[in-house]
Amino acid sequence: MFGFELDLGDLREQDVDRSGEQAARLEALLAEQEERLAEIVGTGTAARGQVTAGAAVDGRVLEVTLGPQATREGSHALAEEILLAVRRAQEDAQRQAEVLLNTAVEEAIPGLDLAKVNEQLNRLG
Amino acid sequence: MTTVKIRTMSWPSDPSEDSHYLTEVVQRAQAAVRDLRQAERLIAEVECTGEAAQGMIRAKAGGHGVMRGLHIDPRALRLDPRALGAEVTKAIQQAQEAAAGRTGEIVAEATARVGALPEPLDETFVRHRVESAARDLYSGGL
Repeated sequence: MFGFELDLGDLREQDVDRSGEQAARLEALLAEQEERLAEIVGTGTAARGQVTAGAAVDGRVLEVTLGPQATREGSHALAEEILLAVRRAQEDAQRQAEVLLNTAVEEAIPGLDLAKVNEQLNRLG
Repeated sequence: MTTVKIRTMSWPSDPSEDSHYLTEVVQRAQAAVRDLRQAERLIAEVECTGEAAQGMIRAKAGGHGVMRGLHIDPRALRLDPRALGAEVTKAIQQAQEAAAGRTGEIVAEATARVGALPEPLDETFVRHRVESAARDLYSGGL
């Protein structure tokens, strides 16, 4: 099976055609997913749940909420806990985006290993 | 802020200038890559500040939505948790918006420079040259 086991030193015409088709399908897929990506809200908590943050996939912070005991450890500790919650929310949004894209790609092109494609692209660069 | 100089290049009309043209194309491509690397460095250095609660809360954000710091004045803790959360959100969003704006400027400047690259030498260039050489040949022979 051809899959994405490309030997870059030995490309045949049908390989290029097939890669082109797959690329076109991926492109349509990405356009479709863009909207769903924009809807992702990553969440992160810190300070034993007293600090909660929500973040979009581009890292934008949507909301920071504080529990009644959030200020107990002082302003400096609170600031640190807020930054931690924000970072966790941003990471969560990234994770959700990865899952969304991997699932969509798997549906569109079964057998395509994105990690492997990335590795091949990096070798090219 | 640096100004962006755009001078478009098109193929030389005289084939004898081709090699000079190619040298310039390569130099411009190298300059474009340097500009993009410089843009990357500038984006990594972006740091913008946002303030809320009369300056009692200050947030610092970097180029890719990354938070670089948050300072909360002890006096801000007098606010109730809901209001304090809202003020913190405001300061962070302000810092991130400013950082995104600055990043956008850097990207726009870099893109404008890359956009000024000359037309790539594709098969139409070769065909054009072959045709003109053929024309010269025929007209010379007649």
